[in-house]
Amino acid sequence: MKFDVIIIGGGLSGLTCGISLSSRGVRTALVSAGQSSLYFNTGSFDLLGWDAAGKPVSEPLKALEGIPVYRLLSGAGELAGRAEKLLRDAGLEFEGSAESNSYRTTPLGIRRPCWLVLKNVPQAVLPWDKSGPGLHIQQALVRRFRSLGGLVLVGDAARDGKIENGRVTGISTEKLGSGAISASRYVLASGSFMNRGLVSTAEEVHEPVFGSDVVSAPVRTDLDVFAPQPYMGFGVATDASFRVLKDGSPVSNLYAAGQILAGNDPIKYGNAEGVQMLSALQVADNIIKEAAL
Amino acid sequence: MNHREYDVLIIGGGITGAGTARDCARRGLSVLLVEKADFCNGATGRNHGLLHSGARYAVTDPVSARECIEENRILRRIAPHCVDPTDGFFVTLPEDDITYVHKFVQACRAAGIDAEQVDTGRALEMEPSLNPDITAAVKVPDASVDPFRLTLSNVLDAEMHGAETLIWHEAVSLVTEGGRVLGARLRDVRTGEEKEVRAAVTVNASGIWGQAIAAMAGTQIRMLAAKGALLVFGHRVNRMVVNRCRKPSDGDIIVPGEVVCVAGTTSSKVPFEEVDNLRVTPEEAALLLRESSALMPSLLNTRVIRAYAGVRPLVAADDDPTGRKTSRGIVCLDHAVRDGIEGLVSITGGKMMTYRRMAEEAADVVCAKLGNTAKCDTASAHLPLVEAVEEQRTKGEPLICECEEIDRAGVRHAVETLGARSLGELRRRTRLGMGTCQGQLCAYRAARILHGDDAEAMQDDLRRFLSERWKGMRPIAWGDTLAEAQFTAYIYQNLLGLRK
Repeated sequence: MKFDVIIIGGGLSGLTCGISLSSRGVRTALVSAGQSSLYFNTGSFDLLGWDAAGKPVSEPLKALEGIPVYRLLSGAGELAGRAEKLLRDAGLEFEGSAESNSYRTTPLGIRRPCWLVLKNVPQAVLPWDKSGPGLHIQQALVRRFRSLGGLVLVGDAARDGKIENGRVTGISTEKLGSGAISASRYVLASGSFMNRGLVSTAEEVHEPVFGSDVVSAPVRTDLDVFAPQPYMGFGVATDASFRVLKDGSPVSNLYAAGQILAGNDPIKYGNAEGVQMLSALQVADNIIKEAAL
Repeated sequence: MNHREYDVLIIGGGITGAGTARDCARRGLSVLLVEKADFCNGATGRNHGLLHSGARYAVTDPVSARECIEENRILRRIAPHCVDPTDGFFVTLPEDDITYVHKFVQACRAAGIDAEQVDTGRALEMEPSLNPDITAAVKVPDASVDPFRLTLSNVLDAEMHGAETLIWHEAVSLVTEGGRVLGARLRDVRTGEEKEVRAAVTVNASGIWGQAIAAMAGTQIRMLAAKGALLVFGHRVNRMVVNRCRKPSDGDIIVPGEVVCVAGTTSSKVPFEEVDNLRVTPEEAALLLRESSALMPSLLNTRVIRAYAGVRPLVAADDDPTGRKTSRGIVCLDHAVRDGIEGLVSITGGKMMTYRRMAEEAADVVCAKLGNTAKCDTASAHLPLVEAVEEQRTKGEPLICECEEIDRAGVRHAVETLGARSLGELRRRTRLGMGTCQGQLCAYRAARILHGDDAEAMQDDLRRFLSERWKGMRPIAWGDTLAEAQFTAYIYQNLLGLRK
């Protein structure tokens, strides 16, 4: 089957990108192995909690300039507003806004800044038990994507991405084999190590689908767990339009969004969902502009 | 407790101190055992868990070898609940000297160790994880031992015979008068409160810290800290202990333990300042992986879940002023004889598995000083079970630690009966968090049970737990281990909000 865009990764980034593209008539398929961090969400989204110096941020939109990934966006405020609308259109209600951080109290009794607190979702029990709220959000977004004509290939893993003459010419999936699905453009939204979007060995770090260029560091650190860890910022190298680099050059029809991007530390900045959604929307915009779709 | 005088004060809650407390208490002495942290804080909590057959020393140190096999037999008999009688192999790889095997078997037999050369095909049947290219295999009575369980059993037996114990109490100075040690000044490290305790004899059983304790009495025991690094793999790959049949070297022993296996070790001198802050280097991790996978190739595809290091206290021989020659074997010092300081005995050197013999030597000296003539029976009297660890699953009780199958009743028992007040203390008493997930899931559940409504105590405990856990993962942070570390950070630091 041929599509306009195939998105690899069915988490918050993949779904956000897919919904944004589909809503503008782009024929989109999404391949998901089921390793989404969204399952563990306890019902709140973060945009920016702390700045580069580690100071708490109260007005995120004023502080995004100094943050990796956010710097590459062409209008963070507008994108944040569109992200909020996307969630609402998927049937998710929330309180909070990008202008000013709200606060939530975690199950450990710790108060921390957040962007949105979702209202009509089940209570979280234990965060890792693929909890109520996370699953609810995931399902709402999948429903929305499908209602816009998007196709979701669930429980399937993309692999063996072929790049020839600076463009992706095909991928395989575990269930469908090679050549079953193809597209003019691809989005890599497969997440970080915990989502299997990045794989590490004792010697190196790689991106398993396309062998994209990866930004990493060879030296293991001696840092305490609460210090920012370099590995959090490892990820796929891209150009300013979020095109994936391979052997130093941009792959013309391959984009990356979300946790797989290099340079961001979602723990340090408290910006996981913001990076995931805003980069996904920017990639959708870039694709539409580039293809004059 | 404050005003009475004990017969003996034992400083050090590792296996040696616990064993000495047990022996002295069983002989009828009134005993106080003090430990600055939790039991097994030093080398006892950071070793290989190997119950040597002594075969490893048979060629180079036959005296040590004989001591080992005797204690091996004793511990198997008196502490079956602490020992997994796996037996072991010494195998020869193609690049090793095959003629060493004969020498090795002869030396074992001379030391009284039951060493049996086994056909390599048979060896591979008995231990399928072995490198199929081995050229020789010798079976020996090595076994796996749980040092935490063993130490707590000794403590329990001591308490059953009237001994008292105080953990989190550091001996900050010795009480001395006219060249005699009368006891010690203790500080409760949790509250800062200090008090004095008096005893007719003080036993210094504090491992690497023994040097500092002896200094408090004005005498010197020169010690060197020899660090040993070890790797824990995510599942029990071998059934039997696996050794390399050659002169002892780095990384040539893999010991199975409960649901994991442990490869080790190394030996490097470290300065004293590092002893309380040991770390495994990536080079040490790489060396251990390389050497151990030569014996058991599937280790290369097995997840490494934790790296840790312990320090062996090597005692410099008294007769060498340069401190370069170290004493092998047990060092029992009656300071009255050695230094003219009455009331102080130091027991050090040795190995974890000869602890009972070390304790016997120390207790003999103590009893002689006090005119006590009771006989030592620690070689024949069985060690008691430590209930929380042995407890079977209780019907209807939810599982707290899935890897190690510990339920809520087990946790509560460790809290109420064994005094566990933190995740670390719980871990040492129940093995909670020692399995494949390294406490990723159970730490949160257990912390809720331990601390209830005390949010701050729960947060502090979890912070400490996360720091310790990461220390053990960072030198081996790749593959699934890195993915799990990131997931743990996501849960505890992002969702649950724990920060520095």
